[in-house]
Amino acid sequence: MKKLRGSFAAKLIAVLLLCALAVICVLAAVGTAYLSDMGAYSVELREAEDRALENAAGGYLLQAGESWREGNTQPQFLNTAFRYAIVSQEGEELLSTYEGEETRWEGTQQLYPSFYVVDHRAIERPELTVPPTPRPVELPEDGDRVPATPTPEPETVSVIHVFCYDDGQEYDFRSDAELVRWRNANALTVKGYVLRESPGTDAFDRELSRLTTLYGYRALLPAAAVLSFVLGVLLFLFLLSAAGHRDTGDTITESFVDRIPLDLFTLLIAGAILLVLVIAFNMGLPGNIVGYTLGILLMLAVGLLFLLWCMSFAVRVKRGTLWQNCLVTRLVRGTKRLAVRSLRALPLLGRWAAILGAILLLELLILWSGEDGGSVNWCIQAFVFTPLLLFLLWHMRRLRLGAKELAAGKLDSTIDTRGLFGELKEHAEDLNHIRGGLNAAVAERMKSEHFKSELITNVSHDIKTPLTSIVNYVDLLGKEELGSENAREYVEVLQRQAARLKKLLDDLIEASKASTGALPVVAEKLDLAVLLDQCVGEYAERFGKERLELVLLKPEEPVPVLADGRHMWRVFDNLLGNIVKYALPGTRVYLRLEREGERALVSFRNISREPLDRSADELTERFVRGDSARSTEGSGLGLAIARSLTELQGGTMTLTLDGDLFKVELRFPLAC
Amino acid sequence: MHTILICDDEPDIVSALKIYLEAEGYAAVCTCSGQEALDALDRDREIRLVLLDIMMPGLDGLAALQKIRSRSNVPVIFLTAKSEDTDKILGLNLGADDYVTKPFNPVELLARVRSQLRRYLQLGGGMQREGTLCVGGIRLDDERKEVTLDGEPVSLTPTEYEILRLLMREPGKVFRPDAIYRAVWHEEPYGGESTVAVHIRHLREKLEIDPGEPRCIKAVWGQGYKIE
Repeated sequence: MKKLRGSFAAKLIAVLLLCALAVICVLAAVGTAYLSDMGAYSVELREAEDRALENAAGGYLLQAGESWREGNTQPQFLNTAFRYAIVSQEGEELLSTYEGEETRWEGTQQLYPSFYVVDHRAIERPELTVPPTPRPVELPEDGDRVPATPTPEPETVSVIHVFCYDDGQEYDFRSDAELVRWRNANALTVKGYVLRESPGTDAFDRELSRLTTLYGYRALLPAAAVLSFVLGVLLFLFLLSAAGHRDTGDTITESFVDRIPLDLFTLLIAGAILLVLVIAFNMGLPGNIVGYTLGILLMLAVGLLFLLWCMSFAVRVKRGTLWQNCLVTRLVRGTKRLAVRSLRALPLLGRWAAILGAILLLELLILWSGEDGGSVNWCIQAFVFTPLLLFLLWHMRRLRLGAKELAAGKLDSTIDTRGLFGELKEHAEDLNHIRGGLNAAVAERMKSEHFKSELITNVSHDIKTPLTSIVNYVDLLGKEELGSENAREYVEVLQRQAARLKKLLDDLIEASKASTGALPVVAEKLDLAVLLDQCVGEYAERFGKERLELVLLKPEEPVPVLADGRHMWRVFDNLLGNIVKYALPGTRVYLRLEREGERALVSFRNISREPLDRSADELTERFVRGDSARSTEGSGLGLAIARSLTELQGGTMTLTLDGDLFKVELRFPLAC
Repeated sequence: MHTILICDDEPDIVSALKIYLEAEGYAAVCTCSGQEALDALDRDREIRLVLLDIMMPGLDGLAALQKIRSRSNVPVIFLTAKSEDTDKILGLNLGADDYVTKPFNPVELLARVRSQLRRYLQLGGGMQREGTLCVGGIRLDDERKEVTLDGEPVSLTPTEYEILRLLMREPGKVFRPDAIYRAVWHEEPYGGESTVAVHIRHLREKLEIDPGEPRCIKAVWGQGYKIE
């Protein structure tokens, strides 16, 4: 089957077979119809022959009558076996060609006057009288509407107005029955005879011989018709299934015919079929064998065109290109694309201006038309403007929320772009891209900070090993008998600087970890008042040594905060250590704890020993200190560590420099 | 004389430690890796203390400590370059008795060595008397009003003694400064809580080898003080 499907020869043969079957089917069907019309399936051949003769004579009868009506009084058909006589209603023989010969068939035909009903009209003529049969009163040509003699009481009569061809006159009848009566009264009777002895082979003999021949195949013909029809349908189905197959595979190949747009193709085929039919009818095919052959050929041509269309349709369905390859579809699609593209090409503002302009124009037209403009306007407002605005606002809201989150630094949620369209969708995608970029940047930054912190920690640890040896051997050196006093002094310098190096390394590690948040925070509920007491106690003696007077101001009640005690100690340790190092001896240091709304505020205030020529920000930046502090101990990381640790615990640290007044403020959220 | 095992991958540090320990009259066994230290411990049963570096190639200090602990309870002091709290806590949890961060102060190191040896060898227990409180190396004899650190007497002022006794009665409990003040001074603090902190600091200076990093008398910042 697959092989057959792909073979061109098989298809060609199928087409030819189909043509032949179509011809056979039609002919057999026509023959069967003829036979059944003649009653060949229900009566004997004899009677069928009678019917065939009647069938053939009927045409002559009609022709004879019409010829008489047209006023032709010459006898007709004298060269055939047909004879006739025209008899009037009164029984008077008007014309006769029959002279009493022996006949095969006799019959009569009523010949009525030929007329047509012009119209049914009402006539105001009370005295109108329809003349008694046989002839109605002739109406005046122009007197149908205006009554000739006006009467005091005009009466309207409904009549049937009729035009008779035979005499070219018009008549009025008051009822159908009157009309029928008139028709019957004017009828002629045509008597027809078919002579047994015919002057030659004529239509009657041909008719009889055709009937006799067909009668011989009377059982075969319907069977042939049905069989050829079924076979034809099967072949047709095979052709449909084979359409598009060029080989044994399942691929469907388009021929050039299948590439013609479907609607155009359909029009072409329909046009061609129409053309063939018009040609066939206009040619007036002769009733001989040439005419029949030509007719059959034309019919086949029509059939083949239809077959071509069906096969192409099948190919299109199989390839799924039924609607794509359609001029109308293409046109619609093209228009749509063009409209969308031209609308897209407009900037956002222009696009909406165009849409609004169109709506306003529509409203204006409605206003001009003056047809109930108010309610239509309201409908436009209600069903076009309002949903459109709400739809836009709804989308705007999504964008707004997304942007808000972005601004708040929430980098983990993205705007849902489903349902958004056009510029709004692009905008949402842009926002998401910004978010993605920020995320990547933050992640990259965190990674590099962690890397830096790791690097600093590891390097610091490695530096400590040689440093240990230095510290130890310097110490050992100090215990040796050294030649001079200077040597002892130098060893002390070495010891001091080695200790400083150690402190520097520890601070460095802590600073890098604190600033990258790599330190674990174990937050507990702490009392800042207690913490302050503890810190002040720790530092009391060192303050005393520097002749600094510490003024501690704190509320009676506890000031609880959530924080990691060890980190808090480091913060306070660093800040107090700073004060001891950099405060002007003999001055007061104010340490104040208070509640400030929902936060606890700890402020440290002292007078700087040296003039401060740096900004507050610079002071907390790593490795930046007041220049004068460079020579004293410390790493310069103290403030930076304090700030990082404070922020790590959710607090803030602000630094204020006011002349020589150095103020640090720590704020932590209160724990309830 | 006691034998001390030194283990560090840096030979200079090992020889410096050897010099210090021998100057104090200890015998030193020097090793350069975790595995060598384990072997030396197996060979020499007389080793009374181990100084162990953490960062070493091969078997590192933490792993070596775990192996040592599986066979002996000899005191181990970690020598570590890692100064962060987490590293210290990890070492102590694994069973180290003490730790010293590099670069270390020789005096402090020797003090810790002495402390550990005394605790390990002399205060083996059984000397517990009624009215005596012991926490770490600190012993408080309430009858004699005497405080010793690793067997050595320490002189405290009456206030310091009272605070220490208060803390030692309930080791691990955190005392708020005002509570300590009331218990010791028998009056309301009225802003004198920071006095407590000053006395605690003095206590630490007398009882701790490194007051900046106390091992016993600890501040729980923002809450109070405790001993453990």
